[in-house]
Amino acid sequence: MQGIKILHCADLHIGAGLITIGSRARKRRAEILMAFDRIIEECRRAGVQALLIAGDLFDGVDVRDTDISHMKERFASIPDTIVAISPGNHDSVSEDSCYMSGEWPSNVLIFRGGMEHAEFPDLGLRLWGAGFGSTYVDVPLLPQASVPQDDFINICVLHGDLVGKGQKSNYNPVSVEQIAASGMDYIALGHVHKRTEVLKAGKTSYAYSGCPEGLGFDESGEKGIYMGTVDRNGTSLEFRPICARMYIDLEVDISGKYGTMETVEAVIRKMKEAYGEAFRNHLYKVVLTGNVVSEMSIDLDAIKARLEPEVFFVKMRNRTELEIDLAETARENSLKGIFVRKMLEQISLHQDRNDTVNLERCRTALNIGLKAFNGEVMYHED
Amino acid sequence: MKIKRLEIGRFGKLRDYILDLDDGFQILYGDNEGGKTTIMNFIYLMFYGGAKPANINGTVNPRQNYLPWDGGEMSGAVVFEHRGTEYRLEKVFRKSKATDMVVLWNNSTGEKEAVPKGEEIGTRFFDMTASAFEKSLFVGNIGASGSDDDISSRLSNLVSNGDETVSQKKILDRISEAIYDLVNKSGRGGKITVLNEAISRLGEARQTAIAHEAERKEIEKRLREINACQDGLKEKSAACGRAVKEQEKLEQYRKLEALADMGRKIADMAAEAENSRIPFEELKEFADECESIMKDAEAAGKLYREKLGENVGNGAQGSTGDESAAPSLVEITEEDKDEAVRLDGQIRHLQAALAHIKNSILPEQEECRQSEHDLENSRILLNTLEKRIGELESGRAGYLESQASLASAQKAESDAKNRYEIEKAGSESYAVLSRERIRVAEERLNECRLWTAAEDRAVDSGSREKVNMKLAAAGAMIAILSAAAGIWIHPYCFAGIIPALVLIAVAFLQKGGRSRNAAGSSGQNAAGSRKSELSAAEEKLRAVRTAEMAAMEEKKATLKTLGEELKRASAETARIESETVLRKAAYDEYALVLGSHERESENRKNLERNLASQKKKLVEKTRQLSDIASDYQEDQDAAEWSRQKAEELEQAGISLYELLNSKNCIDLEDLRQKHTAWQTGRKSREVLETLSENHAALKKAFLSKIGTYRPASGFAEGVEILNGLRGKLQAVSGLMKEYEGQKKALGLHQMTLEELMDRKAELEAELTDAEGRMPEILSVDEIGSLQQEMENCANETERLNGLEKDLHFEQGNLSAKVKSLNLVDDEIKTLSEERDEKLEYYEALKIAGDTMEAAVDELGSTFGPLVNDKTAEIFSRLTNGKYRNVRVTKKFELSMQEEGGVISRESRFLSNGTVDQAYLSLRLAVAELLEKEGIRLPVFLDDVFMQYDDSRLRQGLGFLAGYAAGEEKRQVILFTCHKAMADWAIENLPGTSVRNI
Repeated sequence: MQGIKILHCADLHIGAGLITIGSRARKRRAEILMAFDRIIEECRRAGVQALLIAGDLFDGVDVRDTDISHMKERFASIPDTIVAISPGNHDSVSEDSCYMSGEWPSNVLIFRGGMEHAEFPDLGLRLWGAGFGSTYVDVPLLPQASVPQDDFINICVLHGDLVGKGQKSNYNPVSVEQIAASGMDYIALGHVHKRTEVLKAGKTSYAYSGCPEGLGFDESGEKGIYMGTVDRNGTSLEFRPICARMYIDLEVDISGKYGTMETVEAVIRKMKEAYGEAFRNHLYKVVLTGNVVSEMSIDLDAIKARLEPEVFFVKMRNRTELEIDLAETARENSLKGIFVRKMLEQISLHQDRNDTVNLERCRTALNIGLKAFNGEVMYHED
Repeated sequence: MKIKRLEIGRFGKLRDYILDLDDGFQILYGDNEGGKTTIMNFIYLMFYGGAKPANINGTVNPRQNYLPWDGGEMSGAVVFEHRGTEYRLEKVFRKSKATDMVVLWNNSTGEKEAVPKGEEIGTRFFDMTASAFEKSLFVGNIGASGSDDDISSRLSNLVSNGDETVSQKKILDRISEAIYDLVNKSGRGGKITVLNEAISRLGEARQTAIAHEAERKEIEKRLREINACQDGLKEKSAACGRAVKEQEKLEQYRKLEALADMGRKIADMAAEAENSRIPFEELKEFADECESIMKDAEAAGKLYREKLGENVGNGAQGSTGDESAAPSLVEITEEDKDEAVRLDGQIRHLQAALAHIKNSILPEQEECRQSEHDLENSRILLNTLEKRIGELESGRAGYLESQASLASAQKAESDAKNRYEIEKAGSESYAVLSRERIRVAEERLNECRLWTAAEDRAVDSGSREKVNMKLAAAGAMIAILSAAAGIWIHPYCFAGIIPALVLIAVAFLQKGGRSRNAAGSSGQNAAGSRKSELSAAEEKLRAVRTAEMAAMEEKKATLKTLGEELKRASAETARIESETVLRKAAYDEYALVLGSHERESENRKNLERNLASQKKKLVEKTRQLSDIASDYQEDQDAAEWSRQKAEELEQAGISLYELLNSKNCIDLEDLRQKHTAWQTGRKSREVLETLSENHAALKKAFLSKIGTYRPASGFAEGVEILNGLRGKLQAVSGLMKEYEGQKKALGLHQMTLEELMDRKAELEAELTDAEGRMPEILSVDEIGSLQQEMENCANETERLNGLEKDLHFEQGNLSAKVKSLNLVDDEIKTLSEERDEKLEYYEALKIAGDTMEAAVDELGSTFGPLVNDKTAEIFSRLTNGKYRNVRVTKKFELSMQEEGGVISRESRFLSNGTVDQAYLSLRLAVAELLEKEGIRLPVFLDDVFMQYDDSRLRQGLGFLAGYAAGEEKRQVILFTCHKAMADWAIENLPGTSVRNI
């Protein structure tokens, strides 16, 4: 029997608010919808037999009619591809959700309740899935018993939270033991926005594809989908980047740099080094690090104002430390010297106690205290 | 440490510049912009390459600031002596400290010293930071720094923390401002507070969202229930609709059946009217021909009778003028006449009987059959309704049972609540009582303890007896002495007797008490008994406490059990309530069907009464018939009986016709007359014979003609047959008109009878079930009930549609009113992360603030006094002893105290020169304090005497010379743009080196 060609994606969050990127949110929302279009095109181009959407296709119940009709039209444009959708916690099935209204194209299979399946004898495929009925689902949707072990290829689409054995979760807890006992050939998971490699439990392969477009700085890096073949002898999937832009946490060491212009140049140079000329496309959280001379004042607003025209979006953080010989300063008979000495004493104490929280706080406090000799130390909000 | 030589390759505007420096005090003079600051910063960056001089703007790279004007690389060397060893430090400045090229030569050995990458040479030699080095090395002119306030604050800063550029207060204020920016003083504002409030609001929103989600699920459940009800109603309405439609078809079928019956009847009548020789279509023409012949015969008869009348007038015939008086040509015997009379009588009798049957019995029988049919339909309907009632009985019983269960559950809930409340109150009162019992046991224990203590004291009292005796003796002695003093010294001394008596009384009272105790207790045995009582009381207290704790635990357990029972009872009540609501629909349908059953029962009774009445009437009419038809029985089929009698009637008619015809008679009367005539006379018979023959021939022709249709016994009968035929033709024509009218009314006017029959067969096929049964005909009331049911269904559906619409609206409102749970969770996550980040910063700020305050305190108690003392010493030397003290007030203001004075004067009330002197003193004091043990750094002074008057200037220069040549020699380099100062120093301060830069 031949394998099934699949495309596994999840967590598009169409219609998400994206409040953290302000005025750029509108364009970004449109780009997420365009990522959906690229997925459809990929299905058409590669002759995908089953498109698996593992939940949170939409960010909420309120979805624009235009988006719905567009998506239905796109689904209908790949009639030879079975589209299997398992709604997640963001787009849970309810009477007023779009999954319950209007006609969906005949090739779209929406799992609206507990675990169920559909068989496609021509393909030798049995597709399993279950949908969230409310925001929280704390009882596992994956059945305890194994699915039938016959000639069919069993694939499951599921939105859930991978947990340790016996652990709880409000988002459909799924344990590796359950996966191993399921007898599925492949489980396409959604919910976690960072992709995993294709893992294996028992005979079952499983993976989180992550989201096709990042939605925040906690979802940095390249985003995309899994595509490949599932057959009885194993799963062969490869990750395909599909995102238009990336959220990037960029640390820039500005040791030895003076003033706004040198800092801006250092940041842009770092961006170019990392992402080439495409660096302008992305969204950055720039974290300035390194040691700066005590008298240097970093004007984050001025730096940001100069970076904004260069890239799609940027926000700034200052984690630089003052370039100062702490041990020497601590020996000074001055306010700064005494302050540094006292701070180093506290740092040493927390190091001995292995109290990482207070250790980090004291390091920050030391930096703040030293900066207070030169200028204001307000929390910089961006 | 001494700097011996500066070799500047390229540095700012200086190029290939060499400056040799001497020991002790020296003056370097030059014009403004001559490069003094450049030289100082060169020294600074040579020793501390990674630092930035304070006089360079914070955002400017100092290396950029001192890029050689000719575009070459910054470079230079410093030759210095440290702890007796001479070094040469060479440096080529690159982009940063890390890339600088540094070479350190030990001139004493001629070898290079290793310099690790990034190491600051200054730190290695001077054991101090760049800023400390800068503070120690360079002293500027405070007068150039700005306003008086600024000068004052710089002085304060110097005194309070050793750094003139920053004040403690400002540092603490900066940290406080940052803290209050996050959480303000009142705790009601600040970024973290705002975020916490926002998170709290989102928490509430989250609870609301959870509640709304539950509410939405409930609405969805209700919508599903409504949809199920709607489906049920739709199905029910459709079933009723089908039944009504079926009845309509059945009605149509019945009408078609009636129409077909009518068609058949017309055909039957036509068939009855026609015979084998004359088809129905020709009958009218036939009747017309017969009528024509009949009229000819009547005219011939009339002529014959006229002629016969004449003959009679002529006496040829008898007195009667009618045709019967005509001479009979046929012999008619007595037997012929009797047979004709018998046949005629039989015919009349049968006609009367048939008429009675037709007019009275047949309609009554038909009505009875109809009533029986209705009665049967009623019975079937009643059976159907009873069956439905049976089906719904369990629903009704379920509803009643639910109602009973609900009452029972509500009572159980109420009982459980009462039990819970009673137990709760009991538990509380028991707790009060329990505490009281413990308190009583504790009191008893305390009592025992007191008694035991008293016993102990009684045991101890024996040992104190001797003491009391001494007390009594002392009292007596005081009394005696007081009395003696009162006598010999002063009467006031008698007062001493009173305390003496008190002492004696106390001594004797104690003795008495001890005696009593000794008598009452009888020694140690009583004390032992008390102790055992004390143990018992303690034991009892422990027991009471244990018992009360156990009882309270039990009460709590009971209360908990009752609480759980109450919860279960409440849940059960809620469950039964919802179940009762669901069963109500079945109960309502049961009531509806029961109503229909009652109405139908009443209808059936009426039908039974009608049938009984009709049967009674039928019996009465049958009895009337017995006079004329004795062989007809009550239970006999009247139609069948009529057919038999009609056959008998036809047979009798044929017999009579044949007899009359054979005797050439028209009817019975004619036969009688001809028989009489035959008997009485034969006159004029030949005259009239021709007319008679003619008349007879015409009559015969008529009878012959009519006989082709139906044989007639005489002319009169022939006429009668003709009239009958005419009547039949008219009846068929009338019926045909009605038939066509009804067809038209049904829209079937173009259909033939066969087509009607086909249509009827189609309907029959549609209506007949698998077992070949036609549906039962429902009464109008029943059909009305079905239509009413449909209307009820429509009304209920409309109500449910409204409810569904309201619920959808409510659902829409819920979605619109609140944010989704996911959105709220996301926002809480985002804000919490933001809050936590700020909170961490806030905690760090607090640590920084606390530590800074602790540092300030420590500095105040260590550095402050030191700098004050050191400054005072230098200031006194600098002012030739005019001022002896420099102090910093609590408000961080600098004040000075003159030698011999007691009042300190704040710096702002002093002259600029004095302030400059104080500043110089402070800077030198701070520099000394910052220096490490055994290292005396050079001091570079930048026009520090700019605001001094001549007297002070001389004092100052003298002080510096002395300062450089003190116990611990120090290199003191004064930069100035005043050559006169240098000249004066050369003249008045031996050993001072002066150099033009």
